[in-house]
Amino acid sequence: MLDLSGVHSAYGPIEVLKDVTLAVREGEIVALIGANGAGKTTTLMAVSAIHKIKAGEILFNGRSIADAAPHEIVRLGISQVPEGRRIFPRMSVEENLEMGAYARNSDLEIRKDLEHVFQLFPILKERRRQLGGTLSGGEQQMLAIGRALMARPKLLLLDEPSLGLAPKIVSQIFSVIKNLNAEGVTILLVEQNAFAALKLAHRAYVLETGRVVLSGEAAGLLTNPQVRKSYLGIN
Amino acid sequence: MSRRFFLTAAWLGALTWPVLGTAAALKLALVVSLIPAALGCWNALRRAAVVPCRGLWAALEAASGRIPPRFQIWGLAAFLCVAPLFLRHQTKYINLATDTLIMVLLALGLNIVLGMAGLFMLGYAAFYAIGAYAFAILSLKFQVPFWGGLVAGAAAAALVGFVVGLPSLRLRGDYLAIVTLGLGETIRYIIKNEEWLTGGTFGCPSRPVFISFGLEPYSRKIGSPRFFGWPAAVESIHYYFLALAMVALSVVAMQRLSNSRIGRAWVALREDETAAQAAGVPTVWAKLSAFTLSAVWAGMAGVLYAAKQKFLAPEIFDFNLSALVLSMVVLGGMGSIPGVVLGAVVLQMIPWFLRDFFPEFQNYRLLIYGGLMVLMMIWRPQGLWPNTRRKIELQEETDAVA
Ligand SMILES: Nc1ncnc2c1ncn2[C@@H]1O[C@H](COP(=O)(O)OP(=O)(O)OP(=O)(O)O)[C@@H](O)[C@H]1O
Ligand SMILES: [Mg+2]
Repeated sequence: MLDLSGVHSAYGPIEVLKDVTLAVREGEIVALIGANGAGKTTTLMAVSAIHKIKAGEILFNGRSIADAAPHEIVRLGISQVPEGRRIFPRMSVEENLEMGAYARNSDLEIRKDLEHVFQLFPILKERRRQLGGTLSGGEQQMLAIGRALMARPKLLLLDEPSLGLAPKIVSQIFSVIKNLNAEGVTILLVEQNAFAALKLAHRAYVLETGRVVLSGEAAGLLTNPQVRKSYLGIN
Repeated sequence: MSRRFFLTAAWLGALTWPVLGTAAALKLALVVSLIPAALGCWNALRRAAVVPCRGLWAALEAASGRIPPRFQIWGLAAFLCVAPLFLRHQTKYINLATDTLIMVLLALGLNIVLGMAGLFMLGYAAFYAIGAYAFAILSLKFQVPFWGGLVAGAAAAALVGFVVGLPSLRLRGDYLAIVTLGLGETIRYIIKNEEWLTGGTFGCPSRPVFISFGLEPYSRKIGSPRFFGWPAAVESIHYYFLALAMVALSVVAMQRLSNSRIGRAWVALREDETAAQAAGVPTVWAKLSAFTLSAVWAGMAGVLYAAKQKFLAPEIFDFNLSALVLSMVVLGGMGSIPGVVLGAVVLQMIPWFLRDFFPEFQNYRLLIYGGLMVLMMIWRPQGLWPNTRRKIELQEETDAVA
């Protein structure tokens, strides 16, 4: 479904992605793990075309999307839940969700998806008139995921959804991710919490300073001594 | 308390002495040092007057509450339409009112890009200049009638707005302000230097020709100008009504815009550009449309100005004008349509008020603007009539600081 091959990306003169190749197949949950500054966020920004790549190829369902505009990517069916949530703080919960459906036209369908999001996260329904910025961190993360879902994505990019959240909320969010996947949404998950990510994902890639250094079945990586040492903190 | 004011007064006096000279600096210091006394008097007066005033205020509120807002708007409209007919021989007031309406148009236009989309633009006067000069040149050299000139002026400004918008796609915040400022100045210099086209520093006349709409300017045949057949000593009464109609239409258009799809895209852009991109908002289009539409309004205001004034001097379109329009938007309340209108009216009235009532303070106009801005930032940072979303924004920030 999504294929990155030989992707290079840079901020000014600083090369951040040096030849990243990875693939996400339809129906999968793929985890992308790595240390701080490895280039995980940059990879997702490259897929969303928010930060343009220098070289390489990004294919979505066989079609090159590296030159598309960010809103075209959303329209094609790739939504991102950005790192740090980045909800619109002075819009209400409902307005935030409606912004997520910006690229769509059918009001009826949008209403239906809004109800679906409220079903996934009932707290958002309670808070629908409240301003995004006044939500708790966990609620904001739910709102960010909800907003991305409002575009009705085929592929959902999640950037550290567990960041700064209590374990209980993390497990709630992870179970929502699992359910979404069961409903047919393909997922590319970036996580610092490598253990939880590897338990959830089918396959995983390990990124180190802009390069994929390891990849394979998530279960296999969980027992890989190198991964256990560097990312799971277990010897 | 009063010691602090004396010290401030002395400091201000010393600071302004080299610029203003001894007499004026002393006067300024005196005024500032009298503030505590004035405040004392004011408080005493207020205490004495509070009971009768409360009663009066309550009665007024009750009275206005009984009139539905729709009637209030119609009442205001009726007043604005009828009052000038009685003042039709008073060039001064009609002119003041027309200039104010033109500034309202300008402020509403800048509000699109600054208030709604949150893009910081300086040098807005350039678009105003483009509209004005496009109209003047077309009317003078090609006898283009007013309505055609209006469309052409708006289109010319829109084109330049679009082009100025292009660099904005890569710039944020302060950098954008600097670039737009530079472009504004560039346009002013072009006007100043391309004498063959714009008359350069000699200025440029315009020859508005109306096609109907009840507007018949002065001509040999009919003698004094007429407005729907009504002789008016002041030709500018036409422009007053024209400006009034344009402001009314603009207010409706702005209301529509801010509730529209593109209006929501602008809010998202203002709040968080990256998030807007991630949510599928076409940010390129949103920015360019904000710049272009904003320029359209400046262009229309410029056409009106050129037609009314019949002569353009390039100095009018300098940075001071851009700063003034910016102040109107900020003072009134960024993103709030009634606020912006109010801000424009207040700031446009100040110089007139000073000239007519306190001529000796006329030269301190900018000082007064500055002081007003500082006071606003302290007491009402959200503007005189804030946009609700903005109000919440600033409330949050103050809460966070407290
Ligand atoms: N806008 C930017 N300008 C310059 N350098 C940047 C920018 N964004 C990221 N970088 C640099 O690129 C590198 C990779 O950043 P990236 O955000 O992709 O890392 P990450 O893997 O997501 O890290 P983390 O787990 O901490 O979020 C870092 O060295 C970072 O400093
Ligand atoms: Mg990151």
